[in-house]
Amino acid sequence: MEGIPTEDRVDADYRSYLVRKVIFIIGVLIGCIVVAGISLTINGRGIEFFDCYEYIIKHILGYEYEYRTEDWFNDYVLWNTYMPRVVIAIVSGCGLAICGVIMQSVFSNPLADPYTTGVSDGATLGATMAIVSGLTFANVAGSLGVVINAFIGALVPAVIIILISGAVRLSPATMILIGVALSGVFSGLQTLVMYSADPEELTAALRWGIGSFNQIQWSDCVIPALVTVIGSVLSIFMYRNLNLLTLGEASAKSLGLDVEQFKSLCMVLVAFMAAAIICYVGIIGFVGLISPHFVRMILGGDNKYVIPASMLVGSFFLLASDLIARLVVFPDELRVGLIMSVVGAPIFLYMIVKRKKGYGEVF
Amino acid sequence: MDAVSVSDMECEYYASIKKKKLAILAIAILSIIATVCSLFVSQLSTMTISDVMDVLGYHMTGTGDINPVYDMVVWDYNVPRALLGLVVGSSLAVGGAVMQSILRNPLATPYTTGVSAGASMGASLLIYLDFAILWTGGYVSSIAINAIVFAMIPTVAILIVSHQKHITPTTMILAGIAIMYIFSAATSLLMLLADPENVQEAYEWGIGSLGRASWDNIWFVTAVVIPCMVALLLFSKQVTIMNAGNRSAQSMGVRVKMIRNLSLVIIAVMTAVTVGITGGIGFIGLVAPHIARIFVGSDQKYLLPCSAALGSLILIVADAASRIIVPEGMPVGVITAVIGGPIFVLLLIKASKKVWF
Repeated sequence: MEGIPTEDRVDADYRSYLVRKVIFIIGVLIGCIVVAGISLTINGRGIEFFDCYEYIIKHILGYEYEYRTEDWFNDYVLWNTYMPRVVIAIVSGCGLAICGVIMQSVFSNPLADPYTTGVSDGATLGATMAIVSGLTFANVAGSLGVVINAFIGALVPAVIIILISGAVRLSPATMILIGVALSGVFSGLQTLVMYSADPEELTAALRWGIGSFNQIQWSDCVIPALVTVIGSVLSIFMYRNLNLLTLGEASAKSLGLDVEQFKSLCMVLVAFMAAAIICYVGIIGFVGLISPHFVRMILGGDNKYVIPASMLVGSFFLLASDLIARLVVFPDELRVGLIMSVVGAPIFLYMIVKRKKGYGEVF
Repeated sequence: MDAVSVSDMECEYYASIKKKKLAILAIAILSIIATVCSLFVSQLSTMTISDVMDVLGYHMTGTGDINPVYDMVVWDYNVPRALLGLVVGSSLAVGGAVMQSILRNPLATPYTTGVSAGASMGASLLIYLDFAILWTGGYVSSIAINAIVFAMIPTVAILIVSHQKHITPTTMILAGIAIMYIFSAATSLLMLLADPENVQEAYEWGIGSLGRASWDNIWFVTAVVIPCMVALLLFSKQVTIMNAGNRSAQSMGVRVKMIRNLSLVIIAVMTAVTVGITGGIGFIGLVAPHIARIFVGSDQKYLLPCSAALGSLILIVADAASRIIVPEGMPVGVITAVIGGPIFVLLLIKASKKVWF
């Protein structure tokens, strides 16, 4: 019987493969919770690690404290000052990681993510134009108008790359170089708009250059969270189609997928998620790039598992780098986008130089 | 082949040489005109052209009566700025032209290979954290030494990467850009660690600006850059032969390895010295040589002077434009990025139509 896999052995293999996936996902989830807890302990009020969880759980359960007692203050500070930060880290990590997974599948390019393809900078340009000049492409008042502007801005580089890759056969490296050049152009234009603006508005616009979770409030979390939830549900349902795309466009077409339509849908989704997140936290690079790769290294390339696991890993990365940012310089926190670049850029370099096969075959 | 046609060919050859020389001369003259014109661009709306002429006349001849404010604006600010633009523009363009030939890569420049970013980091180590690798006594020269040492890291990395078999020209540049990301993130980190309020400055440093030009640093930069450019010009014959391929060049008696390594080191030194003052200015090193190639072809003997003239012309015009668009002053790197990015994309598309790498 040796060497010939019996049904039992195949079953057993498959089960252990599933168990490994579940264990990995649970492990990352626990990691997220622990890091979030540690991050909450830097609260300036001396609330201990386990007490933080207690306060948060009690608050979620609707527990009320007597007005102006020690407990009431602790609850108030944790919930209103530090919790939004944790939530936005989780939300933006999830969202950007999904963007990365989708873009990598759509472009068959392991180096694609919103940052390396210029989508992030397009979004910031759109948002900057909305804020600085009061000029919005879509005539909606308030922050939703800014998000819609950012969305339109984010679509521009995505459309340019799709058009170019339709006209010329681009290698993955060339596509990313085009993305980098586009992001240079867009951030140049953004700076141009910023410098033409008043100094006061300039600081608001400057916030986006390097992403940061400083001064995030609950009201800032609503739109990113909403969009990310919608995006994650959609992308989890799309996993079969994304798997088909990684086989190559021709195969995907022959298996009954409307490739062009699906790709456009994906890019709209990515642009919208990236725009919604970037409007509130600024540009955070490399999360979308490295989270899916980290997951694929351990779990393989099946998007059914890669998508949820990447969401968790992305959240974990952002929670951890936000924690580092806060630990290094307290209370003037460093920016999480910077920490992410310091960690992510060397991994990006490694991925470029050390590949053995062609880019398309990594999956 | 009879004698007549030989002389015809000779005539044609000399005519083409003459045309190339004329093109270089014309661009050089244009660049000098632009430099002079840029002196008249300033925020002061009260200052007229004749005021600027008075100040210049005073410093040329030592006689005359001038307004001290105008003197400060023109002589202490605009003149060094224009000179720095000349020097930096030409050095970036020459560095790009030589790098493109040596690495046989149409996209290679000190900026896209990460050399500028490495130098920026070295310079900011001294400027923001007071860390000098070798304290020479002079501030500008100590910055330069820091910058040179750190510019060597990406240079060596690119040399190593370029020797690997599976590395295509595009991948090499992508690796260079990744190196650039690493160094610029590290630079911003350094600055913000030194002072979290430095965000604005960190931003400008990353984009590149001529705003820090002054008489104190311009002499040093010029004194380093000009010998470097002369040295690269001396290699021009060998580098031109190397265009035919490294093996052919070797068989024609060119010491390929030595020329390549030495040129890269010279480029790194030249870039480092200028970056220490301006920060990383992108795309000049890419755009200028490619336009120059249209005029004079790829013979280094003509390409280098033409690129130099064109680089300084582009940089000075871009700087003047940035000062006209935003009177408070905007980093010139913004303009070069906005213009250079699309040209970079076009070059990429052109390259990938030819070969699929």
